[in-house]
Amino acid sequence: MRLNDLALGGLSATLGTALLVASLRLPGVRGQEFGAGFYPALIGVLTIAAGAGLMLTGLRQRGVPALRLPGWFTDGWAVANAAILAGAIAIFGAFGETIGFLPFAVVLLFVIQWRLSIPAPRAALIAVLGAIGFQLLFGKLLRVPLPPGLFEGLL
Amino acid sequence: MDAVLLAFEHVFSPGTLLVIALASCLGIIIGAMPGLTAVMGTALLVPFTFFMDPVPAIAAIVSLSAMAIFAGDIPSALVRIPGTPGSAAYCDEAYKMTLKGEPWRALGMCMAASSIGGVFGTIVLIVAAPTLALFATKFSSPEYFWLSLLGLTCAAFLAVGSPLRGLLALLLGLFLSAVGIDIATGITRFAFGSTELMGGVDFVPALIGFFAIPELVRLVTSHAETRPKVPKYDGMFRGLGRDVWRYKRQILRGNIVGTLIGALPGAGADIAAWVSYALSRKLSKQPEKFGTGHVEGLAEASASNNAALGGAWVPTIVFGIPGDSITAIVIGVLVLKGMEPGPSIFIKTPDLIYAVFIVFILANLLMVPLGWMVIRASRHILSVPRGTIAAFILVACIIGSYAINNALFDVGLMLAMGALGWFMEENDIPVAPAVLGLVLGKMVEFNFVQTMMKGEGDPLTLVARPIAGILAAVVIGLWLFTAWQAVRRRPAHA
Repeated sequence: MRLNDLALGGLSATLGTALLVASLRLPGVRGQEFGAGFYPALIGVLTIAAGAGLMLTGLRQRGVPALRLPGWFTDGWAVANAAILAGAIAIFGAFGETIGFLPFAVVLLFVIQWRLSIPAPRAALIAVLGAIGFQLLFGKLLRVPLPPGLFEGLL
Repeated sequence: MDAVLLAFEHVFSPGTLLVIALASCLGIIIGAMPGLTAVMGTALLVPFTFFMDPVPAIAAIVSLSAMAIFAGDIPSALVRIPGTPGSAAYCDEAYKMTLKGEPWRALGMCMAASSIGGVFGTIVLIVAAPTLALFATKFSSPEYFWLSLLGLTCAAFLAVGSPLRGLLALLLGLFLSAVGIDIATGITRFAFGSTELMGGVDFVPALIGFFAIPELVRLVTSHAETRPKVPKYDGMFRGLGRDVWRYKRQILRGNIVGTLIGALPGAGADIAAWVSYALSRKLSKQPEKFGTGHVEGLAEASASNNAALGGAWVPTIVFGIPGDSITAIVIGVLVLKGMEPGPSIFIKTPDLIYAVFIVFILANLLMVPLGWMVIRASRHILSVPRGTIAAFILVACIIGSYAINNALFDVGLMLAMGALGWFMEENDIPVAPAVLGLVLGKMVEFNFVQTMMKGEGDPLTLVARPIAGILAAVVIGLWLFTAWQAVRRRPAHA
């Protein structure tokens, strides 16, 4: 997802302005010259300046589209894989406690391998062994309290 | 002397030696796998270091990064795919040697030069760091303010193609460092009502997201399944001593250039290798042989990228200013362990510093036997399917982000930072300045506010002390130089 310089500069300047406005709204502290908003406001101003610089460069560019999607965006298989990647992280972030690490890891290891052309029986075997390995390493050896989820009471 | 003995005791304890061995093996595998970088490996290692004492934690990072940078040469030479960006500079040269039937000679030279370079960088670190630290004890908040600004300036402007994009990355990192409770005023900034964000953007999930997710996106969206044909191992020590002796001057020059570039904040092993390879070609008596499978450039550039690793530690442990992305991670780890890098670390925990020196030497010496083993096993390592690598890295990213605070929020944070990192890479915005900004942001703000408060709001306080004045002049000079160059060049894209 590549923006041309004009669009990237515009986006940066807009975000810089939003940061500046939000920083100026932060409360000051009595008796202190520099409140909590000073530093982020400075970052906001510099972001606006950098964005303006990019926009100026962008104005000199001819024939560069504002937005160019990566080649794989037209490839259904690749888009599905990227969606699985992002979706899996989001699902664990949202429902990790309910699902539990071990069942989640087995499914994820299997799906990713299978999607990337590893035969299903082999992918399944590696997924189960790999997930158990992660569980033992983090759950037992490093004592990270991994959410048991569906395996509550079994682990 | 007690500190040195204590350091030996730390390093040669069975636990630390085991950590060094495991991290070295992991580093070699990560480096040898095309597409997986030393920085990504280090980022994934951080959650493990959380459960270790400071010495094994740092030892793990040193060993992994040194091995990964060397091992990146293996797929470069055998299948023309650089294992890490540090090997890209001489990838073609090494592969041409393979085509000429000399893959093991190329890899032997890479291994020997990497090991020598790594040891050289460490010797410079051992000599320079304590001297500079003594000098740095005279520093106060204005000096640290300018020094961190110098580090950030170098990272944003010198090491990347586009200064404006480098600046944007840096500002993003600085903004992320400003999220959460402001130490000086106690006011919460940009937490959007989230209690998790009140403590700030956690370094580890951000790091994993920035470095690992874009790599994963590349792995899962590419159709290219590499099943490389690796030639049969045929011995690599034959003639190696003669080659090393013949190119001793090039190796020495690579060591010096690599260490100097490594010490420059923001410029790491990859830039060192590119510069050294170009220098080797320029100064060679046989420049026409470069590009045809000539071992001379390999000797200089592979010595350089490993020397850069040691060099990058000089500003890191002396001033707390990271030399590259890996040392930015080291600073984060040290802070997680309750230790502030800087000259005081030499006084408070000298044993830790000596332990770092010992580990560096040990890791670079271990490179020879481990390198030999992995080169022999390269046929098997390079045939691990991409799907298995991607699946395991993804689970490691998720569990690594979760394990730091045992919080699912951090998994979401890692995803958000990963999306940001991917967008940045798509738009040629470098990720390293953002990470440096995240690490150094609080230090810049704290030293700025403290200096201004000392001077009752007078901005001249920032340059009132002589060293601060000199550093300020260097920083402003760099800004003006970069602006002048940008205006003069008028590039097609900024």
